[in-house]
Amino acid sequence: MAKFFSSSLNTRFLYYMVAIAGCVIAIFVYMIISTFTGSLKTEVQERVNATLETFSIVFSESHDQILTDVESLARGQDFVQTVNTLAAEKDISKLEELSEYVALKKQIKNTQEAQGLSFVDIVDSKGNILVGSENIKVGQKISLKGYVENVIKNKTTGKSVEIITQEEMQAHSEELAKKALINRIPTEKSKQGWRTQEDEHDGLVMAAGTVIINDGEVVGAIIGGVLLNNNNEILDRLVQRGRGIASLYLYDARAATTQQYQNINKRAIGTLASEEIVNTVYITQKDFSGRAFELDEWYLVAYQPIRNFENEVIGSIARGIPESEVTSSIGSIRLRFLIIGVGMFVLIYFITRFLVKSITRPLKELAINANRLSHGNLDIDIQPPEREDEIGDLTHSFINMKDKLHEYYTKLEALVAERTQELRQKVRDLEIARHSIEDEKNKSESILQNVGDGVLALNKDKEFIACNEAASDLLDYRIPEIIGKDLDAIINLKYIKLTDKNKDVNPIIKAIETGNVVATGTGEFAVVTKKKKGIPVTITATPLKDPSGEIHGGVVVIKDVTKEQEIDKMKSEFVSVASHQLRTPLSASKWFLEMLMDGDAGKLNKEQSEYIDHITKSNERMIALVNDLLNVSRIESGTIAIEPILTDIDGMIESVIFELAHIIKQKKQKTVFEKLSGGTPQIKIDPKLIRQVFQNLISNAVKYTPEGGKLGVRVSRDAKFLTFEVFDTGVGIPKSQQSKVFKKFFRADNVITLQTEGTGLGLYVAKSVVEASGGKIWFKSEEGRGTNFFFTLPIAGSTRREGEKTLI
Amino acid sequence: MNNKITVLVVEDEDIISKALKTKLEKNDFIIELARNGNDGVEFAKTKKPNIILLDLIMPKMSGFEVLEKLKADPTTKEIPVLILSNLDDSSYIKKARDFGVAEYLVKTKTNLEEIKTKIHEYTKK
Repeated sequence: MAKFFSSSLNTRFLYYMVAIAGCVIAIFVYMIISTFTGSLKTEVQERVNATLETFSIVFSESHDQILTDVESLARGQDFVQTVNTLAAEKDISKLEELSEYVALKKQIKNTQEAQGLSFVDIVDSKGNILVGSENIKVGQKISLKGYVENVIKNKTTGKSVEIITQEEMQAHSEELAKKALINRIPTEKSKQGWRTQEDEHDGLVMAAGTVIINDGEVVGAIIGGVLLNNNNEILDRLVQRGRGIASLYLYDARAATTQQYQNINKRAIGTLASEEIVNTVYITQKDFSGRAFELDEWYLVAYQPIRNFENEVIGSIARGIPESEVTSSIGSIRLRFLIIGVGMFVLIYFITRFLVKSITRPLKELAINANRLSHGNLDIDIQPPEREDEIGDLTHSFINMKDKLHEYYTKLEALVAERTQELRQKVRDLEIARHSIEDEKNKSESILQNVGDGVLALNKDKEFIACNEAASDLLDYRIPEIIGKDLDAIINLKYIKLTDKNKDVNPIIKAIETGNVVATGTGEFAVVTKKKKGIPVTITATPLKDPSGEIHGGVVVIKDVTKEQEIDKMKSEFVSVASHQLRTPLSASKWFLEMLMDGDAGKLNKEQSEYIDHITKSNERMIALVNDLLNVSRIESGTIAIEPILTDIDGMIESVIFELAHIIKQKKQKTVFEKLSGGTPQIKIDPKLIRQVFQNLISNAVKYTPEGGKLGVRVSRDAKFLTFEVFDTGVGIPKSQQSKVFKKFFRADNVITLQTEGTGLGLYVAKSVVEASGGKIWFKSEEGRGTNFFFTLPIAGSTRREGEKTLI
Repeated sequence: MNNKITVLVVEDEDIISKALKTKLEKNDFIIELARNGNDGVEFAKTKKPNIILLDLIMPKMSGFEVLEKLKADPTTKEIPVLILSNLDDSSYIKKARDFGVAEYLVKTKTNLEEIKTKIHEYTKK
């Protein structure tokens, strides 16, 4: 079907037209044939009916002949006298001896033979035989089922088809009875069981009779008859004049017929009429006209019932023409119309083809030209159309379109050439750029792969997008296993620093979420590898930002610090042991100096006592340094204990300031303590630890604030935290070094040049203590203007922690 | 003589014990020196000191072992003990307090004057 619709317009148009023409012709031919067939059948039927009429007339004429014969006998004067004489004879046994009898018998015998009658009988007024043409005995009764009595009784003359019984026929002659025998033969469509009698012994007789009157008195009657059983001559004569079959029926059995069994030269005597005939002709007793099955094929037939004088149906006459004859003539008519139809069809096909071609040829030419045009051939030469119809218009439009296209195309080519040149240049530029990008990429890749530390990159959904060998080795995952996975699936971080549980936040997530670089210190985190091995690491997470500042991922540098940690531990242990060892000589020095100062070794002069004072101070500094080192080592070993108790922080601050009072006084500094109104609430903290924080911060403020400067402490609070601010108007911290303030041993450049004392451990300790106590520490500072340190403590108090060590 | 207070100093570092001895003898205390834990326990029984100054880190027997033995012996149980140590971790301090020591003093944080005062304080009764 699809193939059909993709065929050319020409073909399709042709097919459509031919299909329509074919349909119209088919319908037309069908209608003519069916009309002809119908009318032909009707006509044939009418002809059959007419032939039956003819048949009836001929039959009736034969019958009239019998009556004429009988009447002509009965009118003869001698004949009437003779019958009168015979009828007058009282002794019937002597009748046969009378000469009149012999003469009469001879006379009727002559008539019978001459006219081909089956019998001629003369009866007296009682219906008894006076004389018969056959062997029938005088005095014997002849009735023809009451017909004879009826003729005498009503003094009538008339013809009638009557039944003659077997006995009456036998009385005439054995041959007559024999001739009448008909075997009933059921046929394919005969009505079974309508008459149960097996054979028909009765005879159907075409009878004519008239009364014999002498002087106005009935002396007898003369009856002539022709037996119709097996009497085919009349029918044969009839059928010679026309076609078809003719039959006479005794009841429903064929008594005489022209019909023969198919292919057998034998008449179908005794075969029974089909059911529809019996129903119409014998049961409803009407004429039949139409289609009926006769013996072995279908006929168009006409039937008329035969009635006796009492108007009873005793048989029928029929005519018929085989339907096959009609059909064959219908077939020839049909064939003729089919030939006409096909002829018309062929004619229409060629006319349509011609018409379609005349329409589609210019279209096809257009199509070919359009196709050439579509292949870029704009130089085709199209002849202007000669026709002025729609196709002519189309061709005009097409030529216009072609010319326009030609024009545009020429312009376009120039434009394309120009653009192509530009594009080539761009492609060359891009190629150069691509090479340089590729070089960059290779460089970056090789840098990434050769970095000793693990480097991984994540997108903003925290999925890994790149990773180097070192990271893969460290985490025990192969690189393809890492790429595309979630952060949590690969990097399982454990916070290992005991001093502060609050900091247990994944630094990578923090970096990506806050957009700040997050770096962890040694000993804070361990990563659990694929093989479930814990490795201490430092993490540096850097957010990746696009120029607009939007975060689209992060880079993680992960470093195995196992060795560093071991070294740290050894260092801490070393510091611890060394510090303890140092304390012995320091204590000894302290005590001997004390004794010297006390004059236990003799009174000292002013100069001596001044020197001893210097030595004592140096010794105390040494002790302080050792204490700081020990504190650091404790913090780092993570064994620091926190013992929170309710503490008066205001008092603590005051005592720290008081301890430093003599230096403050020396440096002529001004101190301020801005308390909360109503004082700082007492909270549970480890006083020894927090005191250390205040000591470190305030002593720094004193130390780094020049003479006459100002310093102080300010307390504020919110719902959850107390905030302590230690401020000064000191030297400040250079911007470039602010990020290192809380690192161990850090001392800013500007304070080192001041040659002030300091270990660089105070702020480190302060930060560790504040964080372990549940607070935060930060600062703001401007070089030359001063520094403000802030730290918070939870009002809810610090969490108790058992540990071996406290700070000193 | 009977009025004089006998102080047993259990200390392995000679320089420390010398400083203590020098100062305390000047202040009329009788000083007995034990250079190790064994001697300390022995002298605590034999010398009948009024008070014991005990170092914690010592070879052979640590200060805590000495304390254990002193407290286990009824003859020495009642003698007040001042711990004089370089160790200042809270765990040590707590442990020492559990043994019922009179005072825990950290050497670098304590003056001789303070030690003298503490001895007087704990030997008054």
